[in-house]
Amino acid sequence: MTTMRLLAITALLAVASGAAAADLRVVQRSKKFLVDRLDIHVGDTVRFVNDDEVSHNLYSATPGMQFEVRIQQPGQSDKVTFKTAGVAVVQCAIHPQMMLRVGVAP
Amino acid sequence: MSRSRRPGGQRVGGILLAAVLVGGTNGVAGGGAAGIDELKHAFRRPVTIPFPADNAYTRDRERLGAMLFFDPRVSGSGSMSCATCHNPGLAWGDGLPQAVGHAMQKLSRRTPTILNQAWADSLFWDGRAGSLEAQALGPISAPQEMNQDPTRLVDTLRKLEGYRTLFEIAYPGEGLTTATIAKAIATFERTVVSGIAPFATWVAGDEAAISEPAKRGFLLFNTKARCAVCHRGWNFTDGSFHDVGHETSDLGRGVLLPRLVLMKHAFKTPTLRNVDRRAPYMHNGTLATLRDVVELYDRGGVDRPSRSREIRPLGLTSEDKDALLAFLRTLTSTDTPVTVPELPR
Repeated sequence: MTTMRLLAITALLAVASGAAAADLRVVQRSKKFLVDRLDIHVGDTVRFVNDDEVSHNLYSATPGMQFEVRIQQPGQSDKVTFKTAGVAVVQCAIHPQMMLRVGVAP
Repeated sequence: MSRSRRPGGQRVGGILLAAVLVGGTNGVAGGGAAGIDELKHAFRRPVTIPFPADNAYTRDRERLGAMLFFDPRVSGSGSMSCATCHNPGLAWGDGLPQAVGHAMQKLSRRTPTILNQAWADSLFWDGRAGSLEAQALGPISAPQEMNQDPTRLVDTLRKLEGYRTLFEIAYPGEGLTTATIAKAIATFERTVVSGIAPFATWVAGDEAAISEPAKRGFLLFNTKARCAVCHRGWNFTDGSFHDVGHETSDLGRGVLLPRLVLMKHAFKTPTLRNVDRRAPYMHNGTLATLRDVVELYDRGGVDRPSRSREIRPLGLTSEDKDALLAFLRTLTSTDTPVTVPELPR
């Protein structure tokens, strides 16, 4: 858990010190997200990378923050821009134990 | 024994299972003795049964949950218990293609086993419950299943002094409520764990525990036959949901997630523990034998947009199929009969 938190913080630091366009990566591997929580700002974009050996199908059903990512084959990635403040719960429809909370600050 | 934990062997977050079986961990999966060792490692029996922090294991909770599980007064008619469908004599299922509910109504899906559900992240064929506590009252209150009004259930049990006492002992200060009923049943269900199967003995190092064809079947299971893509881990499931191409009009998890095409006709990957004792198969019980199931996966099922990307024709030979079946039969444990508890009157 601590490792996951550190990874999330590392990702945030990369954004803070990087260019204006935030492009965070969230990696899916071994039927898990490598982080379980991500804190970003409205307008930030997250790239969801399937670095796994199986397909994934990400979505958020959080009211006001819904989105669906296409069926991701191994190696594919997709970007999602978070336009609303709140906490989005991102899950894989195939593997519901994969859960990521994305905190989106105004 | 189906509930093979060590009495009194409590640990933080779980209770000890009776046996700790550790396979080899060296080598690389995919070939040779070392590869086999790594594959075995992925299916090792765990040390403890997990319990949630807000419903920790106690023997009193297990005992109360067992009573509720076997008590027909939990149903609206007073004639059906949880065990009517989840019969320990039938590997905690009912052996029927589709379940039969209140007033002999035939339901649309097969009764899933409750074996090893302590490790499940989501319950029901479509995964609509996120915990055993959330699941327990579903079939009890469903009109077509046990047809019990939860308020009436609480009233019925509160009239029985024995239950009032047992709830106070198991959940002091929490009362006899729908919440504590669900928690007690969930606690009992978590203790329903398959026993030691020949496969586990082989994993522990006894080469004579299973046949050579079964060993070849285990390799195929993890490679050419692709079963372990989803049927992985000690309980032989990763808890995932797939349309495996089986003929059905049932939308499955697609009812919950209608916008996601992959969830149409998708159902939960079931455990394979004691699988040869749980025929017929699939969510609707329409495949009579394990060989029928292997044939389905070999064909790759119906090619439709919702079919899982993990499903494809396998090209299994007749010998491959025999080996897979020999392996699957090694997952059955020899369990001692379950004692039905005496119920409060």
